[in-house]
Amino acid sequence: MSHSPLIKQLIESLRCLPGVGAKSAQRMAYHLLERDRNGARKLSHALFQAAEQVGHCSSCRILTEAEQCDICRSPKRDRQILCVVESPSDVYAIEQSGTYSGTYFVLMGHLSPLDGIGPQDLHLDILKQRVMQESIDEVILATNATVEGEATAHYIVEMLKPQGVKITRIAQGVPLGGELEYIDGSTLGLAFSGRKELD
Amino acid sequence: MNTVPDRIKLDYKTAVVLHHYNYQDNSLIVNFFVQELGKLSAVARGVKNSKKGRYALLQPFQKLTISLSGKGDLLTLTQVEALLQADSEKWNLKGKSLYCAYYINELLLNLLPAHTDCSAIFNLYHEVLKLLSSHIDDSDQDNFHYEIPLRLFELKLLEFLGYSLNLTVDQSSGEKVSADRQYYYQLDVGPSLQQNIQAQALLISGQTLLNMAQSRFNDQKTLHESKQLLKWAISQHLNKPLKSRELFKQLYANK
Repeated sequence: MSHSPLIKQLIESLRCLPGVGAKSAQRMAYHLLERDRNGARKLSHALFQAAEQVGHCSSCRILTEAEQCDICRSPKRDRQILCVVESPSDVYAIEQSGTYSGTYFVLMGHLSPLDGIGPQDLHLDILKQRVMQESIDEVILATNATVEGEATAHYIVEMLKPQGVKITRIAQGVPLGGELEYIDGSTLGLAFSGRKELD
Repeated sequence: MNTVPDRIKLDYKTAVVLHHYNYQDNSLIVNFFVQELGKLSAVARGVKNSKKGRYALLQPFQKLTISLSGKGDLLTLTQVEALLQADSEKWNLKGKSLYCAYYINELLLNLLPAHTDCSAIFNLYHEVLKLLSSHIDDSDQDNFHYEIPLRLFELKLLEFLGYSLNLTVDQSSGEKVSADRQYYYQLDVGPSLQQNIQAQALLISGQTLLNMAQSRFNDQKTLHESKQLLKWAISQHLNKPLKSRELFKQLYANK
């Protein structure tokens, strides 16, 4: 038996979610229709509103429906430090750690020469403008420790060097609770080259 | 009668990662440059949440030993390990050298054949990346250190692919190229003293041609002219313009 057109459409639409294949999509669709119509209405309303209204924060480019996100508007944040990350989930990861109180800039990706993703796709001009206009003392580059992340960090360094701002890169090395014998060679190498003196 | 395609099983091959794409949630499709087999693509399943650090290994410019199995064009990665090597053999690509290395990878992605012994070009790739990583100072204004390995690689890659350039014989007279003359270079035939108005040609000095024939790129003029010639020759074999070249131009346009 094939599904009726509306159910089929719902199943097909649910498949756009990551990790959802034909089977899971069908399960979700039947669950919503058989057991949770209210939930379904709420979901569709929330999805519609979010898809229509959520855009990018004008100063850090994180996803938000407001002109500026909560972090950028908060008076408690230190506006002299700016942390550059690749994705909104990186911001939440850093916020969870509770160790950083400055503002962010979210690139929404990384430079990838072989995929043709260049500086204009990452809106690096907005980043440059912010560094020029605001009184920022330090830019922390927290792009991923991948080759593309390094390429992106390098480009930002080249771009911001003439502005005379202090640019730092987050440290790489042994994770908390990590045992040396299980750490891969390259990470261990970085940990050694980035060692610091104990006072 | 239908023949069942053969399953391939490759064990412990030396390879380098040229590029990778995300595939499903936790997997990657990786383009490898395998020493004895050229360009091969494989699915690396579940590597993104692997606790063994396999995702870190599958970054571009990593020297690995890999095992692959499967049939058709897309194989499955069954084993991957970093290649044990001395410190002096390790690549340290940063800044401009990294972008140059990306360019080389894109050339290989576009031009390298599959299932062909590419040891010669594989060894050259190692040498060139080593040369590139020995110059990590971006303040280097003359670009010599980046350009020489790139030109050498382009020239040798064309030779390897069977598109060697005629650099030594004047095709109109059959005489040897003379260092103090200017030649009109036509891609399919070679240098000529006479201009053929119907054919596209590049004006190039005899000295540059002779230097290229001996893989000597030690002066600015040779570098400049050979760059134009090689760029033109390579573009004939590409289906689309190279993205890394455009990006390099954007990045270093003002420098």
